[in-house]
Amino acid sequence: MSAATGPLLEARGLRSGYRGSMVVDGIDLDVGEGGLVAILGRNGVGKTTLISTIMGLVRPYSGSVRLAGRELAGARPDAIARAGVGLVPQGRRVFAPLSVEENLRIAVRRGRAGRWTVERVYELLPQLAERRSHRGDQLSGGEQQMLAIGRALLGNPRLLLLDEPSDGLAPAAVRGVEQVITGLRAEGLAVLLVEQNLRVAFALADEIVVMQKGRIVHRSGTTEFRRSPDIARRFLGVA
Amino acid sequence: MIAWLDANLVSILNGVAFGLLLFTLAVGLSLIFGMMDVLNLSHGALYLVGAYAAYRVVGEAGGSLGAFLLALGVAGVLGLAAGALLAGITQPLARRGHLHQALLTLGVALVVADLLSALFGDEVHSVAAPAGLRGSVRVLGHGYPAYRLFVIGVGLVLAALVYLLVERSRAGAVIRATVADRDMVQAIGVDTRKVLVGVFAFGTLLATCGGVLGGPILGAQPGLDDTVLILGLVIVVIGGLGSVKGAFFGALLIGQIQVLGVTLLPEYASFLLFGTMALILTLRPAGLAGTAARTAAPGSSG
Amino acid sequence: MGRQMRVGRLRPRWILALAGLAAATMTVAACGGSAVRGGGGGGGDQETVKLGVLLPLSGVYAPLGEDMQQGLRLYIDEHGGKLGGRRVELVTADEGEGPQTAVPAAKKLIQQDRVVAVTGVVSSAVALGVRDLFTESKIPLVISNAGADEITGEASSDYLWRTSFANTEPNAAFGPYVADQVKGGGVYVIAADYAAGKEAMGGFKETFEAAGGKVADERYTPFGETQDFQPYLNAIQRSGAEAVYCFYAGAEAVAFVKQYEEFGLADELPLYSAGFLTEGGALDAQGDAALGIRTSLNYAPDLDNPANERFRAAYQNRFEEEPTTYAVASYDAAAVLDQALTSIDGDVTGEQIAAALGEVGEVDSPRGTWRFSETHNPVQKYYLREVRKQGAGFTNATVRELEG
Repeated sequence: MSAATGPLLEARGLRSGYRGSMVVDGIDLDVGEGGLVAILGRNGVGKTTLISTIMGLVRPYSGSVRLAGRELAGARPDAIARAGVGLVPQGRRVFAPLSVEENLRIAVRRGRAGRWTVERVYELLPQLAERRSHRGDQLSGGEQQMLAIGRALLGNPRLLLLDEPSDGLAPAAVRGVEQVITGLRAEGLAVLLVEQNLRVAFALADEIVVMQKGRIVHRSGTTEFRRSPDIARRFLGVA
Repeated sequence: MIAWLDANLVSILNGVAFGLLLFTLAVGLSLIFGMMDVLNLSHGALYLVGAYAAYRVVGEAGGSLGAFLLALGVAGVLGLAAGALLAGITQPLARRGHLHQALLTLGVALVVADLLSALFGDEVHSVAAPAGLRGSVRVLGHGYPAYRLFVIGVGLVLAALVYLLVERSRAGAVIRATVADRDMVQAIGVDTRKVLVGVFAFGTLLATCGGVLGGPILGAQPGLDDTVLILGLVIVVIGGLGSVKGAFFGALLIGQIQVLGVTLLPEYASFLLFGTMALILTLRPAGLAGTAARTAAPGSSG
Repeated sequence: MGRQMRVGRLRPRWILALAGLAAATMTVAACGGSAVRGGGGGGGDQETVKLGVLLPLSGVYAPLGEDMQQGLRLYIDEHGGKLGGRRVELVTADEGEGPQTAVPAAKKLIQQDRVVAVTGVVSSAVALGVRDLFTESKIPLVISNAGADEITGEASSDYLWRTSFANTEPNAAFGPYVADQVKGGGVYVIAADYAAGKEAMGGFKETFEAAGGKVADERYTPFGETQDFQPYLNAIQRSGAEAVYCFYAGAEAVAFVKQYEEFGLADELPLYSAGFLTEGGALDAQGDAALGIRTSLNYAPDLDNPANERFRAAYQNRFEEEPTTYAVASYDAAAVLDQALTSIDGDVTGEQIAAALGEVGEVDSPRGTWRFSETHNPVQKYYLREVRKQGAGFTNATVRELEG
């Protein structure tokens, strides 16, 4: 494969939506090996739909999504997951009737050994180890977030899709999530992050992308973005 | 009290046997309906396939234990194949809703029943209990058919196995997760189509093997498919959808109603079954083991 | 009522098609036969009469329907495809499980197919449901099973005839014998909760009690929805009765007899019943469990008379099974129609057949000779039968004639 030189994730002309509506309207997006790109934008601009489209949960109308050169557009979500994409979705979506242990065990891909095991997840996220027999719906928001991350890691992804990981969490829990993501980056994991919390995005990302009405309207390095507050004001309505 | 127990002991025991037989039937129906969201109205016809398989392999006059096991094997293979086929034909209708899928399975039920009728005729057939389980044994001074004790044993083992499989195994966890959030299960790399086919095939396997198990008690005859389907549906409704525990206790309750209830209230025999169902639905609309919600509220407070 | 839930069935249509085909071949065969023999029979040119057959081709009664068709076909084929010297064209319609299918089917036979007479009918509800239709259309219906007393009682008609039995009769014939056997001990009476069950028990109790018998207790079980008789069997065991008299047929007969044995009652309490309990396919399914059961019926395959000898051999030869009372009644229905048609000259109408049926004398039947009563019911003998082994299978062996 020609992946060696190109970016890990390469989306080109991606269009998708629900029942004919155009929610993602021609997106070109790259995430490099080990890179972290944060997508910013107001509610309803298509960020989560973009994530879902990359994951295959929403079928694209047109365009291409390549992971290390391999075409994923139109594939089923489970095939995309097996190709190396992990999803930590908006609202965590942990399996409520399953215990923490079961949530993790069903995410272990059989017949394919990888770096991540349930024991390594418990080492990384010790708060889960303490609650391994609790049901998914008995966890706090922060614990659910950690569980969702651990569950995604067990697929040994090369690219992690993180949709609003700080949403609804207490400040201490948000810092915990930040630390974990920083640690994962250090291991070489590439991340595509959707985040409303600018502080979190700035702390983690090396590239910022701003979406509006289904399109990318701005992209720049994080330092560059922080130096021009008018951009944030224009597209995000914040200072 | 002791006298009453003594007088009704056989009835109580028999209610357990009948209930456990119904459990094998109802649990498959419940799993397919509760977990895969398909009301499989061909479940009764598949039970009848198993019953006729037992009639053909074991016969009316008596066969060996080997013949009985062979019948179970034949029924099992037929059940797995039928389940995979049903999963394949109902899945494309998933977006059209329950009614379309239920009607499709009803069509399958009618075709299967007619094929059986064409193959085996409309005569009433019985199935001999396997050698060694024929005749009756003394249970606390009362005569009781040995085969029914065997059914109690098999039913209990089966209930334990199904419970372990669904509630304690990884496969069971995948199934329960699929019920809760199918997309998310796909997103962790599981092909949910295989889960659907697997659950369907397992459920129908229980139906056809239930038909073999029930053969020596209920025989094989046209119309039995509807009778057992209705009993199964009543149990599923009483027990709560998709719950192994619910199907178990629902089946035991219906077993007792059908036997002990008839003993104590013979005049009301015809009304007991549906009367019980109506009563339970009034008191507990979600069934005995019904749960209010399956999915966690997203982002519950921390 | 689980078994009535079925919405529609494919099979009746196949069978109808097959039956039509069979009738067509039969007519052709009859043509060929008469051509060779150069037009035997009485009435000059080759007249054809259309005979309607109303039988259950689907549903719970279908096995009876099959036996009845076999009896009818056997008679007609034995007589060169003719009744009363006329070629017979059979038109078959599906009785189904009750009047909702049977009434339209009967209307079609009369109005569309324009048959001159109809035979068959398993269900009493159907027989009573089509009574007025036949009476008003002046088409005779020769019933070869349906047993409601009313059919040849209050509801009797010039156009209703019956070659089978009335429900009370086999049971009434049995009462004195059972009373004699139990010698003062109580008999537990149990039957399916429907009209035939009630009539049967009424018939039994009347003669049984008149002969000094005592009813220990009486129970009616939900009809068509009882799979497990254990609770009732338990009650029987605890009642202190010394024998059991029951009335079941078909699937319930199989379940009752098997469970009667499984729960150990067969060794303790003799079981008596009208012969439907162990008739035909039910006996095969009951197997060993039925051994020794004594029943009362108007026919047994081993009856010793010349007509039965011929009939049984021909029936076994052709259908590879023992004849049943259902087959005999249909065979006899063809026989009385044969006699009636023989006495008619020229064109045949339903009215003429009905009148001629009244003139039919003794019928030389496999069950022994019988004749129609004033109300068109057979006046016949009943026999005490016992289930015995016969080769690899089982049979209802004649013990002796029962004294009315």
